[in-house]
Amino acid sequence: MQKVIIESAIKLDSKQLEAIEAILKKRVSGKFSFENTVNPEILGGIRVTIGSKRIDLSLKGKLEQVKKQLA
Amino acid sequence: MAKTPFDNINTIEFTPQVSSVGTIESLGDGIAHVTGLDGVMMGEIVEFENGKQGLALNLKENEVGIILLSDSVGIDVGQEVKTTGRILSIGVGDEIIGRVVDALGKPIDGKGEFKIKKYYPMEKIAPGIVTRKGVSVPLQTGIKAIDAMIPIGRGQRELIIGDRGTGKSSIALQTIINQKGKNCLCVYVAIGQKQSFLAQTTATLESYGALEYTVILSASAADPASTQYLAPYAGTAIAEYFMDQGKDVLIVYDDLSKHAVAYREISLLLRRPSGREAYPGDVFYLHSRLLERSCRLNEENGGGSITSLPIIETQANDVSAYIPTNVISITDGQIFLESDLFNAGVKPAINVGISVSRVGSSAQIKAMKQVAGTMKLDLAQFRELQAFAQFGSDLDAKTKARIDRGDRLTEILKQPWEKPLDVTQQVAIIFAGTRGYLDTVKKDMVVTYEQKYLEYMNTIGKEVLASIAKEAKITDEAEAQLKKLTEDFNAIHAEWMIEQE
Repeated sequence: MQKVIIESAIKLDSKQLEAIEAILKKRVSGKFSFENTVNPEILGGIRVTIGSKRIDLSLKGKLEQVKKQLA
Repeated sequence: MAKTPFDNINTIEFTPQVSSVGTIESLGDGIAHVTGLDGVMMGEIVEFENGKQGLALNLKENEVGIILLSDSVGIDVGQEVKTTGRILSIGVGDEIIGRVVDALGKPIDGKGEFKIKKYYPMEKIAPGIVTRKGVSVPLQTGIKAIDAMIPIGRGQRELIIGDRGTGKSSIALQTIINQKGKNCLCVYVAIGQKQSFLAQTTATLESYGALEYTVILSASAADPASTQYLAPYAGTAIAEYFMDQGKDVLIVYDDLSKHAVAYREISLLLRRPSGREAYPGDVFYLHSRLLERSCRLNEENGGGSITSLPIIETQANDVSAYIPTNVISITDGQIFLESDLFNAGVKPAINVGISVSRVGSSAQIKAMKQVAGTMKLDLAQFRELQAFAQFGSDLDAKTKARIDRGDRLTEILKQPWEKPLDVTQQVAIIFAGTRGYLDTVKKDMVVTYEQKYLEYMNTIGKEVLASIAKEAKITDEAEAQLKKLTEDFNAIHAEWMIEQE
């Protein structure tokens, strides 16, 4: 069973979590459990880690992209 | 209004970043063992939490072996590692010429950043057979012994091999210095060298004005083995950038023995199985894929070329050791330097008998072929008889003549390292040697003779030399003039001649 970790800057409410679960069901095959971790370092948005794969949709990640593209 | 970094802020695109992540299980000796990283590619760059980078080289079932590309300060066990989706590449641009950079392309000469135009991958598949053209244009080294008998062409790989202290780096540097004004850019890759040597070399190249067309890439002995391993590939990437513009490039790898040692160090630390002399099994591929990228491209692909001069250091003249035999079989010829010759005063200490250039006379201008054709044979016959040279007075005339000729040819092939000779000058002095005009000169006066002869030819014989330079061959008229000028010169300097009995 795969473990999915959703990191967010502030705790997500149940509506948001349900929306995310719906999308994940389409993307992840097999059973999975997910947990919402609060990580203020990402500043905003969410960062989803499925096993070893990470999808970065956080504000911190976007700021890093800005930094790289402006350099 | 001044240009700020934020002017382009409207053009920024945000894409979701998908990467693989892992955790460092153990860290030491410049290697990080990481679990996770399921989607990592071979040779992919990975990023540590503090922004430092590593290269994924060992893809095992349960862990990934990553070599650090910098020091390990700020990297700890338990930290997260992320893939970047990029393979190792180096930033190149026209402004890299004249700079000294490290193996990752960062300037280390204190002159600030240079403008990066493109990113060239360090690992690249060599150009295929159809895109290549045969080697036919000479690369003049300015060294008589090489240009006359072991000529190098643009696009060739010629190995310089010898013991320590025999002048290998000097030959390479002399070749770089001689490329001034010859439309050939140079890249000097220093692998595992002493930093003091590199400082000296940079100063030397600058004093001869060679830095205007040379890039120096250095992974010194103090740098991690990972950067020493990558340095030659980075240098080749820089050379390829210029070759793709249709230019000719000369690249010197100084030296590949230290490169093999750095690779052995990494492989042993990654626990890869070791073979002969503890080198890993793919040490041949290490050098073959590097040297295959030096080639000459045909017109449709730009017509550029990369000529490479790899250097290998032997121990006790043992050319049958593992790495020397590997590289000898890869290159298009080799220049052997011997410490015996060096100690006997023959500098450059090239053993012409066993040195080979597989491209040969296709890389020589016609004028040189006309005069140097018999030189190799004369010297070969001389070497056979050298043992009998002790018996000076008891030999028959023919043997003595061969020995005398050989002695004088050896004398003219001696050359101080900072004095490269233009090819027309070489043709002149070799003409004097192979046509017998030196046979009557006293042996210890040959060096003085050469100096004065060239001065004479540069003044009185200026027109003949110009005609040879222009036609790239010796016309019948030029030959007659050369003969007369040399005979006149001999007559003027009768005091240098051996007294005829």
